[in-house]
Amino acid sequence: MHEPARQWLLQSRKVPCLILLWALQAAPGSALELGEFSAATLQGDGWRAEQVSTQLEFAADGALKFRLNIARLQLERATTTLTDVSLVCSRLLLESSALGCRASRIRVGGLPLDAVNLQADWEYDLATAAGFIHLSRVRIAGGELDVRIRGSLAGWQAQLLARSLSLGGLQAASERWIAAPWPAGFDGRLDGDFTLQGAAGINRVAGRLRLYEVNGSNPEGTLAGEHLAMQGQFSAHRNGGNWQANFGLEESSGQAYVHPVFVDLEANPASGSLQINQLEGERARLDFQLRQRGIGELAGQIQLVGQEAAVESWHAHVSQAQLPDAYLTYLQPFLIGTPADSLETVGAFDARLSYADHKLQEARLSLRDVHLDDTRGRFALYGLDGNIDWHARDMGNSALSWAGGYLYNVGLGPAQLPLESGAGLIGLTRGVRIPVLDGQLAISRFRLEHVESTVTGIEFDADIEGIGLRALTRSLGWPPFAGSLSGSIPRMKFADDIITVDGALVATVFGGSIRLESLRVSEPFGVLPQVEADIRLRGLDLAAITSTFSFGSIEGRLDGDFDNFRMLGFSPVAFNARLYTTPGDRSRHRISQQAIENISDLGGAGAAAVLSRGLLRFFEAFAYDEIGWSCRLRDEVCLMDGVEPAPGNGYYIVKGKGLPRINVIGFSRRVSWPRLLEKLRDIKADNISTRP
Amino acid sequence: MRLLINKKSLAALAALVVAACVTINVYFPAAAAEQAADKIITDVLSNEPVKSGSRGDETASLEKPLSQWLQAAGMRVLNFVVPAAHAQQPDIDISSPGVRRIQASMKARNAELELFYDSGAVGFTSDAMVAVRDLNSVPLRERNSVRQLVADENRDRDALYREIAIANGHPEWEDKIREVFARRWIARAETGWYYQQADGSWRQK
Repeated sequence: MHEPARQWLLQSRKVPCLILLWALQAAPGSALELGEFSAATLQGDGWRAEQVSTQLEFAADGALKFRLNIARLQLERATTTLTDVSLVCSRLLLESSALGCRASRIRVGGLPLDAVNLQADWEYDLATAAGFIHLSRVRIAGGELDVRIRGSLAGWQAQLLARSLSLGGLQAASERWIAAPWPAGFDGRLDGDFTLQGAAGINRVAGRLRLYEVNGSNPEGTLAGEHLAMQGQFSAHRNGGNWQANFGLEESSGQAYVHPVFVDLEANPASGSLQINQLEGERARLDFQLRQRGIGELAGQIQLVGQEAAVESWHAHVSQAQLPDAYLTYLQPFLIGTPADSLETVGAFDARLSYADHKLQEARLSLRDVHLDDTRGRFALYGLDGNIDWHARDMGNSALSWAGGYLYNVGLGPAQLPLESGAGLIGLTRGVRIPVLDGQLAISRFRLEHVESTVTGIEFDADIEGIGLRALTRSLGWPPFAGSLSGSIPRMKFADDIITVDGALVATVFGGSIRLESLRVSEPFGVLPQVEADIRLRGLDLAAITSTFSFGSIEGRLDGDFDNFRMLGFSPVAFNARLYTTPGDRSRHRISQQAIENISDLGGAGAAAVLSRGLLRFFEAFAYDEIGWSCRLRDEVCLMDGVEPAPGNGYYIVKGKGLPRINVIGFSRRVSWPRLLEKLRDIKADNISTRP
Repeated sequence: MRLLINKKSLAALAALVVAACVTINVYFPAAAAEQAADKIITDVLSNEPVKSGSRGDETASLEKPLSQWLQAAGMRVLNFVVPAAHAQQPDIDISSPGVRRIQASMKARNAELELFYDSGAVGFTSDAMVAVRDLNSVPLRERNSVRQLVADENRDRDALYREIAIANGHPEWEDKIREVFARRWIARAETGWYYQQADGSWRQK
């Protein structure tokens, strides 16, 4: 009950005394026919009444009728001045030691409640200073309130029975008294049944409460409800100078939005309890427990300190958390804008968190058969199991394993990661091998540094072992290539959403090498992941490349430079490329007729026609001196060139040698890059389909 | 002969002096950037289906018949003799594959976002992004999908401004491009939509 109201009730015990005093004075010995009293001001301990008038008369039926009018009644402890207070008692009980009235009508103005007309029964025992008042069917805040207060020198007890009170009405009513414990902008109904007990103040409160049809929102829209309903019980009592309170939520339904979390209590009904213990020295402890169907259980404790009730420490335990609902309701809203904001999830997890000294001290997460699948197709991990044990001060051991997954369509096989975590670091305790497509990634070092939840750096050393190019190119949607990729990824770092590599990423492929220098991957999980590098191809064996690639056969060695190579979303968008016969290469240089045809097809019109019409078509392969092709790619247009200029404003792509000699000369300088890629894919497809 | 050498060295000296004095400034082509922004914004905000066919169709082909090639060569000669008018002015290129991909992604999202522009739930910010302006006008169940839409749109917009700057060979233009877009988004917003003023307050167009 509100403090001023309580004061008013306590003070009001003195009012009957006053009336009685007057009655005894006004009617000494004489017959009680009619008495009148009026005063401009009456004043007592803690109260002051202005323009007081009373009337006492015998009604026709012999009952004693009493009337009291006070124009203004000021109670010291109340903020509001009551006006036009009237009490009409149709049947006054006046006994030797008791005073009372049945069915009295009380009218009070100036109260912020709309209950100005009350029906009350009251009685006051002068000898024991005990009394009771029963206000029945008080119409208040759109509903009804039944109040029974019984008091004596030893203490008092009040029972309140509320039916269908409107939250909006209560808020308007209570505005001038105290701030309502719910934000403005909400309306709904309240049923309640409370008991209050106390002596000088309240010592015990208990009851049941039902809130229903709660709708509304705060002005910012960060707190909102629709058709919310909650039912529960509460109790609170004073233990010495401190309070202990218990709240139990038994049933709930409707929808709520507590920024940024939307909770659908129809789909995931909640129940739970909260215990608040006020402790010595301006401290309090909150113990909470919440169960939500389809989501899981949360239990924990919060320690509050000081007048501001600042959080000193807390710990929480999430158990039996079920995906996807736990993710969709409680995790995803906080992850919006991160790569983990659009996951399909399955599985279950437990988590423990503890916070003290203004930071997270401990976090434990255990996963059970969790599947994470990015709906944007960037990554997936299936069958995640294990636990991560993190401590702020010391290292804990963790282990994580998965059955499989994807990274941008590149398949990952099962892996087990032994980890240590804590003190701003998560790292591998020993090297691990992760199957990648048909090869593997051997990680020798992995360290993730972080400050709180911000990743400040990732270090990563690994070797690539025998990843098949056929599978890799297919996964990335590139023209298919055969062969396999092995090499090392030294000192990969991750900071500010950019992956960089110290030194070069070297891979051996087709009997030669590929070096990726100045490799830089920006926003690997962003809208448009960007890969930049300078690529050096050295001494690639063309026979090895072409033997599995049905482009036609070419023998010889090939070098290549891709300067300022830039890929967006794993498609090349810009580079200055030059492919050329390895300088000083002494190996056999042969090119098959089919390869000639295909190159001619790519490089521009001319050579192919000559071949098919002329005598040359009887030769299987030709010797060549040099192969060279360059492409400056910008805006999907490839500016092409070859080994050297050829007559007719062309350029040599293949410069023949010996007899029969054949040159492939390109004429197109501007070629659409997407079409070029299409052609490359078509060649592959055509040749496969036409071959037996 | 001596004179010639002298003349040559004099010319070289003069060239050196001139070269030393001339600093080449590449000014941000504000007008071109505005046109480019308008082109992208109009396309994104119009809910017409995405045009099929790529730019490559018009600009380059793989196999050109000789006649076409000759014609092209002829044009090149012509272009050399009579330079095209726009050649004098720096241009803003918005046809890079990156830009077009982001543009297509934004266009695909626009139909959904437009409902929230209309309702006032989402508005255009002063830094060329979008922001949730009024959560209360969004049903509870949809509030997080609006936040997600806004986050996705902003990721695209960030990438768009950066990509335009990079594709034009001036990564340092990103902030200027963003400023231009901030103005043009608001200019192109429909009546009734909300935009943020420099002081952070919202205003209905």
